[in-house]
Amino acid sequence: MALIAFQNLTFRYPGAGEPTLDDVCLEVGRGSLLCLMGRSGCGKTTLVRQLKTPLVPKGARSGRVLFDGVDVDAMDLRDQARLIGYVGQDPDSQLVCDTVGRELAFGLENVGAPREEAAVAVAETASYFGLQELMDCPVAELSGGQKQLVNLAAVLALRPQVLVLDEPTSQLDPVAAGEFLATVRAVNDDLGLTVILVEQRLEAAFAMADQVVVMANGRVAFQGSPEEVAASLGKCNHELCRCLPSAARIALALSGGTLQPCPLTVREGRRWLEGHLGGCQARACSAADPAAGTAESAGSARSGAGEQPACRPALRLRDVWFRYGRDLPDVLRGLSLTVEAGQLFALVGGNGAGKSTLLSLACGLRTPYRGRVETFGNRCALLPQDPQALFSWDSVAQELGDMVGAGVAGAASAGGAGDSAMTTEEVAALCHLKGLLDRHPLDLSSGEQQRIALAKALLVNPSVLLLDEPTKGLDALFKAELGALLQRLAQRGLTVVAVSHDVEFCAEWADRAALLFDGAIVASGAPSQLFAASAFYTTAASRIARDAVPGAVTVEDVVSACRSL
Amino acid sequence: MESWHLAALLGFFAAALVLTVVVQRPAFQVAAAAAALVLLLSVRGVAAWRTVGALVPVVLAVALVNPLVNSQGATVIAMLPWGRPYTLEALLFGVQTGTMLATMLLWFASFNALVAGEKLSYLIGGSAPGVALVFTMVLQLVPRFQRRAQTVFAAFDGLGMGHGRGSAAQRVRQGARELSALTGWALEGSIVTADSMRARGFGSGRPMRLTVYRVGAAQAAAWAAMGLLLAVAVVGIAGGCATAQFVPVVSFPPPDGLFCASLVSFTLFLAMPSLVNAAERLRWRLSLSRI
Repeated sequence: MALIAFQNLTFRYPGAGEPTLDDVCLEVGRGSLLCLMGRSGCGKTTLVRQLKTPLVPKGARSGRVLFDGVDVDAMDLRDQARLIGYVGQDPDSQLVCDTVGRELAFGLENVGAPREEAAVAVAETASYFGLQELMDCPVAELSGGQKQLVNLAAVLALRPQVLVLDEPTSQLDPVAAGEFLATVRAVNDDLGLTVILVEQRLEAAFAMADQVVVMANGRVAFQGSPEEVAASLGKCNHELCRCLPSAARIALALSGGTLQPCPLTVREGRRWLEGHLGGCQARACSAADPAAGTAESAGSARSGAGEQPACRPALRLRDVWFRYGRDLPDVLRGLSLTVEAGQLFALVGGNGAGKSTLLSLACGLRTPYRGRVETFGNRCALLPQDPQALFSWDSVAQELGDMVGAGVAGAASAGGAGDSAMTTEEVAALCHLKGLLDRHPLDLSSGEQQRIALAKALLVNPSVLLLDEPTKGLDALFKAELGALLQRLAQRGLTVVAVSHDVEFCAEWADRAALLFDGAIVASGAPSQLFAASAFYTTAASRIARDAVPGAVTVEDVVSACRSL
Repeated sequence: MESWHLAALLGFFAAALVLTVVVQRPAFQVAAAAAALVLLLSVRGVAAWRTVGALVPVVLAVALVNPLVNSQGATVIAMLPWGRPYTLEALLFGVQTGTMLATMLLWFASFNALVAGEKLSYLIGGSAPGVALVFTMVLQLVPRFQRRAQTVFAAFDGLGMGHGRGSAAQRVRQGARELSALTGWALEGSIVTADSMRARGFGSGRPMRLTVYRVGAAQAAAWAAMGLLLAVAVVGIAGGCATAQFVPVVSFPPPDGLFCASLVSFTLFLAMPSLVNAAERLRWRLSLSRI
């Protein structure tokens, strides 16, 4: 029997016309790892919250949610807390106690676990997660990834039977997200724990699931094994195809949408592509020369705008050295960088490489102790990682209106950008905010919040836009929208510099990219060159097609190159 | 003594503070000050000297100022410009008051170093777990708010609208913007925190406290000894052994058997935590030497 069953579940928020959940029927088997995907606002969070009675939002519900054959509403609150674990998005705010040890014990204290049992549970959970060293560490001193691991451990200390994870990696950088997902997988594999994972980073999560459910408009659109779901999404060319792992996207595009089984991981993708190209080769052409040629053309086609000669620089850093304090180590060491006007420039690099520091120097918020930062009279605007930090009004319209006054005051002193300032209406249209003007900014999704923050920044009328991790918390579709939006801005003459962990995003949208390591630029060039030359710091598509189509770094590159073989 | 039960720690410091305040006789005072100093040194190490350095001016200031407002006393050192005498007895009385104040501050410094927020919330937690949780959460609130404030300030600064720029009116408007952003964010976070608490069973019934301080035989023996010492000291102090008169002339009751017994007990009682610490350290040394 299934451990969890949603039976004809319909849910309507008060005052809403359409139901958020519409007759959802779903069963989750014991020990399975279910991955729930769908556009933001499709009801994923509303659905998984139905499992946690204390977290169910207010609204009208019909249908039943069964846990092990028992209606969750009939469960004792303590059993509910013990048996069904829940971890949400925000690593910071979910922590309740001051130290890691107390955080792990928090749930056990609440459900009144006997002392000896609880001590063992805390001890073994800490050992399993490698948190022993951190038991007395204040939670505030942990990194985002560590905080989220503590949140997970604190729930697992209760020894639940099912773990509900609602976009747990959306606030983490890709490295920490990978570690977190690996831990979830280990928990599922080693302990046989049932996991319901709502996730947007599907490159890894999709393949590790044994059941995938796609939701659309409050209904279950597709469900089945990952291979089946990928195939059925591909068959109807669904917009969510974009969210699939690169291997699946390449295979679906090259095979015309019908194939079984669909490759999901880089390893499977490589094998599949080998087989596919082997078949092509037998039919006709020799692979080597055209492959190189097409990849090059694919690369230059995308970076065409940036490669045009006679571009003027918009931002230049020359031999810049910076440290945060006299006794602290250098963060930037002799960094030199030139960004040309109208370029979409991506700066990639790991944690602590100095990416954010570089942005604050470029924006003039900090000054280097050696070297120069030149902006050529350009006005810079820096968009922070957390768009929420900029929201101080009750509606999107007010947020934008507020910037008009502030922007004018600032622009007068900065000499302007040459092109005329955009009006609120223009910016709202450009950032697709027309339909959201009456909404409260904090009620919107990460993607929408990011666009509001972007609109606010544009109203300051900058000619250089600096973005800090713009893709944090965005799903693949929002990322595509953001990429297209940034490209439109670049075409209007705006210079965009984005620092990011997100190699896939940078490879797809940037005109130029640079790799920052240990406080200096170690490589730069067109994304196709930069990422094709890198073995680890590159896209999944490049890793899949490395041997077959050298030089192709995005799924589109690989597909178009392979088609012309 | 870091491992001591919290009730014992609280009891000791309460007794030490009361004893420090009630004794007037220099012998007792010097003993109390020395015990407090030694304890702080054994708890905080060399860093304690900074606290001590800050206390010396306090003692001096109280001592020198007292004769200015208190002109009683038989031995006149000098006449003040406004015609009042500056007396030796008043000066000594000032030294006595200053020493008492400094000793109290030393006890407080040790108390702070030994009793972390966790221990305090543990003690409250036994009777009122909700209050204890609120207590630890409030302690975290301020640093968390500060971190977020930094993020918000930096975010607006990045758009060229930091609160440090523009006219006074603009600054005030910007301050309001930042405050609003900060509170909105904090409220949002508190909803998440509340969800996270309820998801883990908060409010599902009476919680259980898990942190346990074990009371071993050695600790129990130390407490018994301390109780005895405290009793003797209190008897002596109640019998007037620790009283002293400073004005108009300095005078003490003559030393007798009870005085000696209560002074020794008083000193040993206040020194007990330092002695326990020293014993623990000694045992550690010895155990190391065996390896």
